[in-house]
Amino acid sequence: AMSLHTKMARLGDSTFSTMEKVNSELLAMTYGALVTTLIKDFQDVKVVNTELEKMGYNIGVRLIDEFLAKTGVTQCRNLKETAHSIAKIGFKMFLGINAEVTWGADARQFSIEFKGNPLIEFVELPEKFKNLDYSNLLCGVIRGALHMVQMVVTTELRKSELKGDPVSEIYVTLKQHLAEKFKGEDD
Amino acid sequence: MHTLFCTKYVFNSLSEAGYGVGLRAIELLSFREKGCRKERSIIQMLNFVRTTVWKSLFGRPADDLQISNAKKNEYYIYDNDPVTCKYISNSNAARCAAYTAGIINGILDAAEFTCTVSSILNNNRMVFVIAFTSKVIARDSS
Repeated sequence: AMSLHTKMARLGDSTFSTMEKVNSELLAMTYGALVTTLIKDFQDVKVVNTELEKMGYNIGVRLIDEFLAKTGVTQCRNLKETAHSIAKIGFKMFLGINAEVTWGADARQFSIEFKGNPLIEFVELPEKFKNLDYSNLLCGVIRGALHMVQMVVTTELRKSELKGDPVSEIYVTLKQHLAEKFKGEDD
Repeated sequence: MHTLFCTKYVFNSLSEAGYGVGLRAIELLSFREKGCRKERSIIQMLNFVRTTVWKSLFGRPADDLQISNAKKNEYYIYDNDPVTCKYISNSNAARCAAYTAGIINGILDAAEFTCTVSSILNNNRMVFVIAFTSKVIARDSS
């Protein structure tokens, strides 16, 4: 298991180096503008959190294709490998940061912990937005991407550097595996 | 509560979002790139946008800068491959470029070159149409 994780970290690094890059400050400011617009449109922090997650979901269902194409990763044999793929390869190639996996209460739950989220650069959460899950988009991305590989999960932004925590943490719970459906298969 | 996503609403929303980014971008870039020097003429300011701003935000200078033949207050900045339109079909591209138009607008307004900026797709190139107010034009010719 140890060498598999090292291989994944290396794959994450090498894929990151081949990815087309965008100015990280432009990304941070664009994401900030997005969140600000959502707040203006919906006013309610809970609704904004949900909308960010939905947007993330729509990104995730597309992003998985790029992940699979660019990394050549085929199938993860178990949830542990899936979790490490997201943390070591996914987070590295798309956000340029290193993330760690910690295992949850049971075999179906895990956390992805990370620091230096590029989306939160320049951001401070004012008191009246203390319940805003600013990076909730990332939770949706994970949920959408995993849904496309037949895993139904729930995700939750448990910790956030914006809220004073030392790291950010996304908690993932596997709800069920979906059977792959092929067209023309008899029901 | 969902509003109609007509062209004008989307354009204005994106443009507004970009405007705030432009205000912050000019602050950052003035400090980092120019040592807080202030540009005096329209052409100098637009060259700053075309080169320094574009290179910082998008990794390369804009493709062209032109002045209108017909309208004395209109200038055009061209971008052949705007990053905001990367996965967008041509029919929606000008709308998505409204975000960048807003950034340019914020930058120019903050530098006291008040204007309106819009984005148009022309021959597969994105054109940012910058129309300065008469006050700015008068100041520039003196």
